[in-house]
Amino acid sequence: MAIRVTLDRVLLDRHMSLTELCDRVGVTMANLSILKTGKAKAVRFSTLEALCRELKCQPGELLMFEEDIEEKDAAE
Amino acid sequence: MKALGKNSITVAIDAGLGVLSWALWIALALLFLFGIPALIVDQFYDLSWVAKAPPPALVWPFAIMFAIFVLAAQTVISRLRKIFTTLIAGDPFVPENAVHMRTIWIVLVVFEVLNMGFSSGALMAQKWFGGALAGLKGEFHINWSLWMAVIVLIVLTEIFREGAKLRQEQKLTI
Repeated sequence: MAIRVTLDRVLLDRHMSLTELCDRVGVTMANLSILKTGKAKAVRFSTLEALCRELKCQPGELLMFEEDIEEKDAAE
Repeated sequence: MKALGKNSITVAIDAGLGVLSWALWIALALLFLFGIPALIVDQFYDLSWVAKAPPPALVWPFAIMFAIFVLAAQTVISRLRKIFTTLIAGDPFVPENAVHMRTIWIVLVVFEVLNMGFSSGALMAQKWFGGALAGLKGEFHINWSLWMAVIVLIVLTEIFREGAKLRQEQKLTI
């Protein structure tokens, strides 16, 4: 996946645990873990909005675009 | 009768498939244990009450064709039972079931092609050898209803595959 979720880094910057974020955002630990580990296929705007509100950040701070290795090879 | 859970249609069909699976294994075992010796050793057993015996030269081809039929049927039954297991568990829309459905139509296609080849081969053998194969009934026959069923199954499998993929994506949407 070319989109990488940087939730772990933002959580570290805010000194906030995943459990605390779960409680604040109202998303289950299992779902937030899927998001944190990059296994998620999509993020709802409502979830993104709640995350940004509670973490006091912009969507761009939570998501990052990275070219896949295969794509890099293909470009070369 | 309800569709899922205890005493449901699904459980009943699954049990029926289990019985059919065992019956096919028993039929195959009986063929190899009694049928073939009976056909090879002349008059060892009189099986004329069971079925019209093929000419001696064709005992092995018939037995092999029957074994292929049993294996094909067992593959289809086992795949169907795997699909039923997920259905009974309440979550049949998984990508694995699309693979099972694809296997089923491939087995049906392969078996029908073999069947057509065998029937056509028998027809040619009858023309070449004539009287020696008097008991053999060869014919070239296209089973249109089966081919239509295969086409329907292919389309449904692809729809199911897409559906399962969407379902998986939905599961991983946070």
